[in-house]
Amino acid sequence: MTGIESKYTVEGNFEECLKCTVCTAYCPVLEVRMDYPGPKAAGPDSERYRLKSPEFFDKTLKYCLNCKRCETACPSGVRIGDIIQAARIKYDRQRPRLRDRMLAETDIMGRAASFMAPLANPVLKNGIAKTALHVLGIDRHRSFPAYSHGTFASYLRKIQDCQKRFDRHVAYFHGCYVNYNFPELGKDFVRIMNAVGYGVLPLERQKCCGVAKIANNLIGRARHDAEINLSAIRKAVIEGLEVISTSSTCAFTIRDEYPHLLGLENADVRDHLLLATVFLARKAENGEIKLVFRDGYRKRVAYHAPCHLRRLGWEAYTLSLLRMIPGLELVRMPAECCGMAGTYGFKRENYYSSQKIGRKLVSAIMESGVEAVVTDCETCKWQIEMNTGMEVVNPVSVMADALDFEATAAANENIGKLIENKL
Amino acid sequence: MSDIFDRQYDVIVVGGGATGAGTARDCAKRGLRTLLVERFDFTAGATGRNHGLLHSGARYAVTDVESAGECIRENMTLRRIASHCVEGTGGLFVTLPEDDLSYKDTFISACRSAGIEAQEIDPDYAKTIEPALNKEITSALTVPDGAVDPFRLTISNVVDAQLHGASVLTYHEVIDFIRKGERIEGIVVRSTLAGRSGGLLYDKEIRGRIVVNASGIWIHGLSQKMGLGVNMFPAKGALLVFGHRVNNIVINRCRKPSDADILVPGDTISLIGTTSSRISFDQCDNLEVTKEEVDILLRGGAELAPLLAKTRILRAYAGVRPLVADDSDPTGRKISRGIVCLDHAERDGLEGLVTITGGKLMTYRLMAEIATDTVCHKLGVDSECTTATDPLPGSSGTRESEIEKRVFPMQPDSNVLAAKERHGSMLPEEKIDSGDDADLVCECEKVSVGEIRFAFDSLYAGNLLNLRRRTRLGMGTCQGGLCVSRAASILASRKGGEAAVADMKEFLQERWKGMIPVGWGRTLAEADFSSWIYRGVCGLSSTEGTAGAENIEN
Amino acid sequence: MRFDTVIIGGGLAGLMTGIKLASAGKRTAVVSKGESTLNFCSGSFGLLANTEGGPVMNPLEGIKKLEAPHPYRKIGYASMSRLTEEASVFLGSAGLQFNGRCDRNHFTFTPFGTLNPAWLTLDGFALFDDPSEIRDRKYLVVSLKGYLESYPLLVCDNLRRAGAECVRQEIELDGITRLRDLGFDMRTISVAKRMDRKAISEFAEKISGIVGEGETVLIPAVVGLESGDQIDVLRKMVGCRLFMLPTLPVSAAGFRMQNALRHRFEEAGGIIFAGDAVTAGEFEGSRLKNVSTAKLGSDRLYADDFIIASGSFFSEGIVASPDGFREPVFGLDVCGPSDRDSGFSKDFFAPQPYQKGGVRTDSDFHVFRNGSRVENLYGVGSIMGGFDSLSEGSGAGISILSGLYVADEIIAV
Repeated sequence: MTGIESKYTVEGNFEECLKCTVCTAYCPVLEVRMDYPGPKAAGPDSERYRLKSPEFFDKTLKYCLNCKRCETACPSGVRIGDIIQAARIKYDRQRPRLRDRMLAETDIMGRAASFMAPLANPVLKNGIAKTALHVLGIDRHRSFPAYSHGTFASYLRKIQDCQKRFDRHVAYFHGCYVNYNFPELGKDFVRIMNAVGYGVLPLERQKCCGVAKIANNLIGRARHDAEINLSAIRKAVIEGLEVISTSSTCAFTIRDEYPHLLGLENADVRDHLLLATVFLARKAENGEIKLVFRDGYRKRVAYHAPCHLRRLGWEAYTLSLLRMIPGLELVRMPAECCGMAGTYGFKRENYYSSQKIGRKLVSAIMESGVEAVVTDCETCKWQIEMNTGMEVVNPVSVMADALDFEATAAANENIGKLIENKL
Repeated sequence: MSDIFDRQYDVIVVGGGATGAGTARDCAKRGLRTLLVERFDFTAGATGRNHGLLHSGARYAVTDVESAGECIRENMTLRRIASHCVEGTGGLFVTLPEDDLSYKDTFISACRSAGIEAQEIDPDYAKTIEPALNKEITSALTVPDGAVDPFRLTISNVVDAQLHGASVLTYHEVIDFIRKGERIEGIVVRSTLAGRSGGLLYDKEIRGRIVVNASGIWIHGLSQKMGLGVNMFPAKGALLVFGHRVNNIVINRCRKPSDADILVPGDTISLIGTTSSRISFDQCDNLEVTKEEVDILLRGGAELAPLLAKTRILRAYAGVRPLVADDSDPTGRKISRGIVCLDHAERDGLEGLVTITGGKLMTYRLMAEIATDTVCHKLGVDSECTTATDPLPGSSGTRESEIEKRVFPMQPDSNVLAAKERHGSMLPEEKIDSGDDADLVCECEKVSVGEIRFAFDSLYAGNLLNLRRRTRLGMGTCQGGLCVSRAASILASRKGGEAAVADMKEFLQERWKGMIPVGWGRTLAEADFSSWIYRGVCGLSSTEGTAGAENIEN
Repeated sequence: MRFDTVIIGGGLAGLMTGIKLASAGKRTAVVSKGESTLNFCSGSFGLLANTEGGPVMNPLEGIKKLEAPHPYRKIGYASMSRLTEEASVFLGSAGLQFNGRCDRNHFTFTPFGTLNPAWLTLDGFALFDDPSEIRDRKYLVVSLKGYLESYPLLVCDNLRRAGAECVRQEIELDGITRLRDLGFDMRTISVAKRMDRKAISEFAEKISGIVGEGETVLIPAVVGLESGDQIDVLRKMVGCRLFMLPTLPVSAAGFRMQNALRHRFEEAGGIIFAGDAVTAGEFEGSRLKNVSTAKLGSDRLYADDFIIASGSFFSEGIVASPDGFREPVFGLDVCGPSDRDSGFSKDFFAPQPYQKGGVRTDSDFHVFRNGSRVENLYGVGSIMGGFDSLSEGSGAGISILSGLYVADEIIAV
């Protein structure tokens, strides 16, 4: 009905810019990288020049974190981050390096490493390996997250018989991190969903969401994976399933980056791809599900809202869900970027910028005197863990920790199935 | 300055448009002691108020084959001598379903006889090379159109004239001629800066052996002062500036010349034009674009490139085509098509005065050559014209080699590149690429402190309006709202705070004038933002400071 | 999701209203499309400086000269003074210390060194009861090398014309100069972010080295991004009268205000949907039932009361098309000049009729839709039409006071 909606779809959106410059005030990169022109200059300003001639493409655009904080800040709805990433895709003729491919191919790396996890993990932590990676351009200060032995996908397959017995179902986009590195999060998710009466089904197929490939300019590969994901999601949606993710970045990439950067239409399924916290918060608030928490649960945690969650507009859901836990004291962290931005912080040339960007958040966490940190994004988790030494958990795992599963299942008239399934 | 008034000149050229500047250049290059006089700023008249189209001549081929031939020859010349002012975008002539398709064949054969290469291409191919094109087109032709920046072109001519010894006097209006019997011996000028930025009111006599009147539509009034009948017909043409380059190839409508049928990509923007309406002489100094004109342009523009309907319009402006009556027609109503050079000694028995008019921006150099030939003939000077072969300042060394030098191994800084494109070899890189000089003042158009200093020092910029014409400062998306205060601050170090504030107000007033006719959507929001900044935060009001510039400068 | 009140717009009006409602225990959400014009604030708020009858020194008295439908007339004399007090309290609770009073305007510097009348001025900026106070003062105008957002020459020129003595000095801060060689963005917020303790000490040292006897120092407003304490620290170190000169958007003072109010609102329990936009509403009879947003998909925000504080043209609270104005979210009834010809004055610096364009509100700030009043939707701040806040110097005052007034109505029910 209005001009407001059309903004989010129309091309030439950079023309909405009123040059107010407020985006630059909220850009984390501009603060630490002197050679980065900032979102306004790199985005809408230079877009006019790039339309004149590709010569005006500036290589320093690669320093953009793609955190989209500029977009959240923009009062005119300019998709500044998208403009910058789209320019990289369109004009950057530099081919991705071996290092970039290694970082971007989370699927291939994950499959291999997960298969050989007992071997791979110590090797990746080994000094010689780190030096070798450093030479390749992966900073020696960084550690790859440990790989799990056996994937989450195979676990989910194993438990399908009992999952199917539920009356209601959701499909799970677990993503690479849950699949290869941290199946525990996926298992927490399944337990919660089962307790509130939902069986968890796998998607027919799933590939990496592609965030790392987009960031590393492997667009063909990203689009290939995205098409597979979209068709699987579409199939699930047609079957009446909501597709749930536990990673804010995966959800963000599929919902927003697919149409905006990869040119893949997802309007038909977009609304059905949700973050677990969004799904649970909505259902709990509507009274469709009931959550019962353990009596003795007491915890004081810091909550960091990842940039992509903010861009999704879903921070309120995660907060509202966590606030349902009576024993949880939530200390909200300032709206700062952690600096990691997926593969960005792994790169040797970005390491110091990444660390500097994260400084404000890290010191706020250290000062808050909490027991643990909660955040919806796995790469925020790596950055915060590395810099604070604190335990960093997904809100879903907090829920799993706080929930009284039996009582919840009972409240949802679901206890029979839980016992049946021995979950 | 007093020196300028006291010198004895061979030739005084009146009018700082492309023709006047070109004539001054030609005269100076042929060794004449030359003065160029302009009422306000260079390019303030019709030169700075057109499409900036490097015509191939195809537009005129059907109606006026002679002009078309002149156009294509000058087109090729400008590509050589003014490479930094010209962009060889190429042009398309397209037929829409409602247009008469048979016009196309008339058009092709007319182009052929004028020596213009017009090639029919597959309409689908046309759409791939120019995605902005209306998908409905039924035919497409390519022609060697391009874009020319009239501001740069004119100023390069002025710079070259001065390099060859010419004197330059802006903001002086010719109010009378020094006349001895049947001979003009010079002019009387009056400062037009009086009352503005602390300018004083004075009249001065300047002597010259020949006066060349190259003042465009104002030829009419100046001729009347001497009782000469040079009948001019002011025809107003309005244009719209869009926020970015919608098209990268000039798009023309393949039909009889009509309203809103040319869309030109110029620098960072696209321009749709024009309309045509007869106006009276008193309107020439205060052109306002009407609602109807805006609607015509928008409708016509969207027919050529539908995207225009959704594209932000930065502003609207209008110029006056200085059409001149054909001397051969006794009624005085018939408009002359080609270049008109009048030696008033021959025509009217008045010695010492030559009038040059009737051409186009495209043929400014040829007009200058013809005028200068006439002057030389009258003065008995035997000297060859070299303006068609010698490159203009800024165009020595091709742009390609400039860029090549930079790409390897260094990535060109896009801010430096933008400035280099504007000034070519005239602007030494070291003036803009480091220290304070590298700081951006105008972010939309990437104008740095160094470029502004260069414009003040070397391009006859004395106020912010001049600066805009020399550098594109304030011509971009925000229309100066975010940068004019920075520029004023730099200007203040040269002419004081009070004058700089007056200039700033004049600048904002001028920008506002162009935004009113298209005052909706983001254009209005931008203007609203500017008014909030300058009226609100900065407390500027109309009662404060000195009066604005003459309307024509706006 | 369900709230007591949903506020559309996270600028000065939206946040002040939100703070009041959340503090009163209302479950309040703010949906904010992006950063607001508060980020551009010079450091001062105006209440009323001009009416069509001329300049106003006492805004409270000046209200009487306004035409009846003016928001201040709706609020009324009695509520005005109470709400202005309340405004200072809420601003203070967000850590923003303002000076000024509602019954007498003071004057503050503009970025160009002239004086603007104001109601409240943030700590750190100069205040004068009377413009003549500048006369015979001695000023040292300090600028930073490479920082183009201050206008020392214009300031000096204007101060001298106002009868003051004035000298100017450019100084260079080592830390920033080092960064500049690497291409540092020298705009206000970037510089202000670098003004840590070390940079402030260096700044103070450099100022102390050049300040003369009896001089008042004026520096560009690049200090105090985090809190007003930074200015106090600088003042103590320099040991003389020192004030900041406002800068153009984005300003450090505005950035600080925006973030402080946002933080205060969240602290009071408010929820912000940042970077999201309300796109439509579902009406039931004369009531707004819920709103949908660009980001929340099929979910709706339900509330008892809704407030639209989405600003004017800049923030697209009001959108102009070739044919007139409209309120783009709900299609609310608007008032103001009817077409483009009557909307503009040719003089950029004269009052512009289009600026009176906005939504129509009744005596209690209810808005109208298709001619009928919406019982639970209120318009506050600059989205309202019928007045020219730029000419009046009343923008901030109207935003704050209309918001607080509406909050009273909602709390009272």
